[in-house]
Amino acid sequence: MALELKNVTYENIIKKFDYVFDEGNIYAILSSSEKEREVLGKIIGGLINKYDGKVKSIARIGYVYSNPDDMFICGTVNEELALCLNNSNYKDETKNKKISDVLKMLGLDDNIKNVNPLNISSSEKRLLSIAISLITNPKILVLNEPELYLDDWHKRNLIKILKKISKRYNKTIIILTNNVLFSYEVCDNFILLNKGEIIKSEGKKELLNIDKELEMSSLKLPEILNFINCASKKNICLNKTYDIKELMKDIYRNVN
Amino acid sequence: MKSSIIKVRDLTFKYNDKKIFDNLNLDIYEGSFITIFGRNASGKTTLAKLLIGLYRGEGYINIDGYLLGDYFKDKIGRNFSFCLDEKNPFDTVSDSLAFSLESLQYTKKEIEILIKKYSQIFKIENILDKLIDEISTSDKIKVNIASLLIHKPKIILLDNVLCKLNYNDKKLVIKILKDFQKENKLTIILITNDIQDTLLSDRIIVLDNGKILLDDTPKNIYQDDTVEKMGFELPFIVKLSHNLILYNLLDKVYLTDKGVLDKLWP
Repeated sequence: MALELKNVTYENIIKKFDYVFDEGNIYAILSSSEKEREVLGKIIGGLINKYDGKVKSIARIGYVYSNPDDMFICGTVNEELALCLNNSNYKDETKNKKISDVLKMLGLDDNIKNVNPLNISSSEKRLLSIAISLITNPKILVLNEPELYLDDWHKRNLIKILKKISKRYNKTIIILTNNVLFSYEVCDNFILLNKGEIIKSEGKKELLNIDKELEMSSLKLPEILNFINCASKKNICLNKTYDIKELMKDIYRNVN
Repeated sequence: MKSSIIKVRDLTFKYNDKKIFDNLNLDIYEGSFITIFGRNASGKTTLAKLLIGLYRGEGYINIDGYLLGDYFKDKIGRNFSFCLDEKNPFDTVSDSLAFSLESLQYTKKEIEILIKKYSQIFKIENILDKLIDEISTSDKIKVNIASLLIHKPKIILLDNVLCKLNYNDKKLVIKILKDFQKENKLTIILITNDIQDTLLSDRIIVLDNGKILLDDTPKNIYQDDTVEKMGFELPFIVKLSHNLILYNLLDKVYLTDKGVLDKLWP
């Protein structure tokens, strides 16, 4: 157990959130409400302290904002990362190495050190925002809509990086999002919120079977599931899948 | 004969010594809905900033018959609205909706009627008196777009803002934009890095490294594997169509679920 939330309630936004997060796993918390995502993320991340219930964690938690710009306060990327290490006792040499290491871990070029964080591309900003949280080596990372603004290539890159971080370094990653497809691609387990309450929490495969719950929670179904649903309205039964190859085989079988 | 409401001629632009655009030429036609699609850092937002006059390059940009520059800024501004994010400088939602109308000297009564009408269209009647700071990002985007359309501009440019709308709001806003396109000949320029959005428009411009790689209707662009070969992930229904064509289950690419399903199972 890396993090446990017990009966956490906050105003009328989060109600009786009860969950145990384990090490080395990636969790997707799905909610169509921006407020729910923000509040829950901040409670877990320790930025909101006045709530009912308990949050127990074994270690430090890093929080990554939905808008990367909100995290930048220095003139260069290097200063930004160095600032995070200010409270540590590391020698300058060690600090520099840690900065280079975290940039490398996220696939950012070392040259980016001298650039103003506000002038780098949107995908670099996203990666830098994660670097800022990661450099102090938290065991738990909370990310709010990390996939926003990223194009397909960078989204896939981010998924690879997050999986590497969780598996190789045994970190717990908690992602708050309204993107069902992204959740399926990145997570091990998901938690579905509706009106601030958990209505489902399962392994990722279950995301295939909960159309009604997703629609009820105002979440957009991935296009592939939408297609399968439209087919069932024509009385064609296709197996639910996120894999287009599987779908192809199934269509082939069903066409007379 | 289509009339160009925006003409870009020989646009060249450098940013920090890097050449972003090199003699770019582009025509955008009145009453059309175009998406400008590209990866992060493909030049999309830079192009948007050049079109709205935030950046200035070499060559020229003509908007609605006026040359973009210092002279005609207010003439162009009246007819060319844009939304780049959810930021909004006004206090309340109704302040935001009223602003352009007040500037154009509509009467109090006219403004009241229009605010009522547009808040109903955009389903923001219940937040009219709320402070912009208090509402959700999705609502902020709706308020911004409503505030832009309320004075009936000829052109609207949206840069990567639809992704911040929640699912139901996005459907609503797209419907409103298309209604305005149909009824008022609104020219819509949608800039996005979500390839699914390209299926919404009449014309797709694919931008990469400041160059126009493709410029055609969705039907034509997705007919073959050109887009895929360029390394872009295709919209689901296009990808499915291509696969079905390979298996001889489909004769051509269809851009809707219904199109594919009706063909497979008539």
